Amino acid sequence: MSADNTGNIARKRGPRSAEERVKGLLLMLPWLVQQGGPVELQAMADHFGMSVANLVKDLELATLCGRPPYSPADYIELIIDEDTVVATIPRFIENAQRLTLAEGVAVLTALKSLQNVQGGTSSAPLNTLLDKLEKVLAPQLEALDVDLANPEHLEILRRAKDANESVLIDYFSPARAEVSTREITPEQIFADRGRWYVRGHDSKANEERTFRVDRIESAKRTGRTGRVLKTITSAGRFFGVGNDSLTKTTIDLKRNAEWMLDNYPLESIENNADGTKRVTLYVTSEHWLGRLLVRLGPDAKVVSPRKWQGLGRDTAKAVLKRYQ
Amino acid sequence: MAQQVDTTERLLNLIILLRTTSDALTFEQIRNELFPPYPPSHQAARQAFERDKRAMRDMGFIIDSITLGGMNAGTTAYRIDPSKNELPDLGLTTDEREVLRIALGMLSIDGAWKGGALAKLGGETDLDGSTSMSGSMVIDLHAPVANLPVVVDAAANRSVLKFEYLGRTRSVHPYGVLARDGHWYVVANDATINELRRFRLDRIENPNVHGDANAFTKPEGFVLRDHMPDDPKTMNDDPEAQDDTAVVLVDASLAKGVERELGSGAVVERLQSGGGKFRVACANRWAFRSWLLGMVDRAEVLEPASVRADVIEWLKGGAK
Repeated sequence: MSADNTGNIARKRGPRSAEERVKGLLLMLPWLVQQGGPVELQAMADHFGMSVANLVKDLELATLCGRPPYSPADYIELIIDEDTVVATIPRFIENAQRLTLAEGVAVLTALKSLQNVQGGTSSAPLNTLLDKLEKVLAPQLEALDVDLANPEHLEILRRAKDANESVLIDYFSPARAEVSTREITPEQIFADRGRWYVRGHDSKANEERTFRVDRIESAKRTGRTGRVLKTITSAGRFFGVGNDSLTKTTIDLKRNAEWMLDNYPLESIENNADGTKRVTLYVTSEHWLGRLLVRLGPDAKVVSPRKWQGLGRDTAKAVLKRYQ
Repeated sequence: MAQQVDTTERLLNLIILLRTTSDALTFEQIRNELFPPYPPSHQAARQAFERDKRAMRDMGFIIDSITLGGMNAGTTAYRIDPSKNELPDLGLTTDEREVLRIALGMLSIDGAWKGGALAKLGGETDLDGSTSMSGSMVIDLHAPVANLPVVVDAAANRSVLKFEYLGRTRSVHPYGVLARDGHWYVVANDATINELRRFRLDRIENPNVHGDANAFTKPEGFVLRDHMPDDPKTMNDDPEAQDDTAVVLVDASLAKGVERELGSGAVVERLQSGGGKFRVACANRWAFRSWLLGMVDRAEVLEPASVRADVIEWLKGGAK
């Protein structure tokens, strides 16, 4: 899947799996019961973001489902005509308005995340809601915690994004070990693997760039309308595919280097016959890759591009000189 | 195509069967009752059932696994207990639903969970673009969807949780689940050794709740974050290691950033060059080395000698 410039995930192509169809039905059937009468098929398809043809296929399948001994009274009962559908008897679809535990976990995770970002005390409606949930879901609230960083300049960036305004930032780049001043227009603000990033037009490079928010040393809104890029990268999730400034790189990892799998956005992971893993990722610069390779040490080997096959060794030698 | 229809129908029927049964059902009972049936061969049927169990867990269902006694001693029976799989009525106002919709809008999490919650909160959902996001910011916590509900449920109800972890079976008392730095952890008392342990949720396999709720007591005043160090360099990975802090010399170009990261309390000496010496946690050698080498040749560990030797050895390995 890939994200478009609003952060939405592109629709998947190809046939839907059994699991996907069942997930959809478990969502649609309670909703249908909740409507309490006939529903236009087109309206229902629009509501769930699917085609009428797929919707009808799934609803027809649902009418074949029920429980043993599968006598007529044991099936889900729906009446589907040319334009509408109605759930006549809501068998097996009880508590249609109650959240499942998994949905509840999503809700609590979202609230805890929002609480982190808003500092926990700055939003009265959020705190009122949490107080209420505390009474009903106290054990679950106590059992689940989200520790998400709230870097200093996040709020300025968010407000600038909402106002389509540019921001003047001092940004520390570890690759060059320097602080530079640049004017950026935030178009995407996202947290990935515990870190916050802002992506948008960068006046210094005059193209799209992504910045880690915790490396922004100062940020000030300019009051000027920012330059919005219509061609902002459609990244694999948030990073990678579609950005010409990145180099596609393949690395073989031994078991001791597999920590990398959990810590970097990867395009793909494959198992090699010798037990190693072959990963593909998009690399921003030779310096960045050198830093990664020296940390991976002898347990990683660059497969391609050829120009970087000796980069890990060269970087280790350069660092070793410091100790001699 | 017919094969896929059968699989979908059977999966939905299995969910209905396990949700509506009054007694937990053994695999053989499920096999006898379910339509469309599993393949005739016992092995193929078992494989298909295991696939369906995984699919149901991926959907967020908590499946009770009950070991029977008496004539069926040792046989496992299964059911989906609605009371464990549905939350009480939250009684939300319109404004509160709106806050929840906003919060969900910025979260990137499994589409069915989020879509289901949004639909029940009165919002629109999108089954095809199931992880669509809205709002000013987007948060992707990489939630391990197959394990999260069952582990949260066990911690919330104080039930014993059993699972496979790095090749070993664990039986733990889960105290809580914490998302930090892109990973999810369960902090739990390992019942077999009576010690507190942290387990990564994405490395847990086949988690199952065993026994009744309130099976253990959480220590008074237990705070999850206090038992989950936020600096991985402080998490000791070698009980025999003696040195838990190191002195690191950092060049001028990076010293300001390091001081910002570690705080001024970590400064041992500020040098005229603009560089500095810092005292840094190194109880976890892997995390320390990773942090140090992230600065490549602009930083050097000075002491203790054992830690310096570790780093040199590592670099020699990489330089071959």
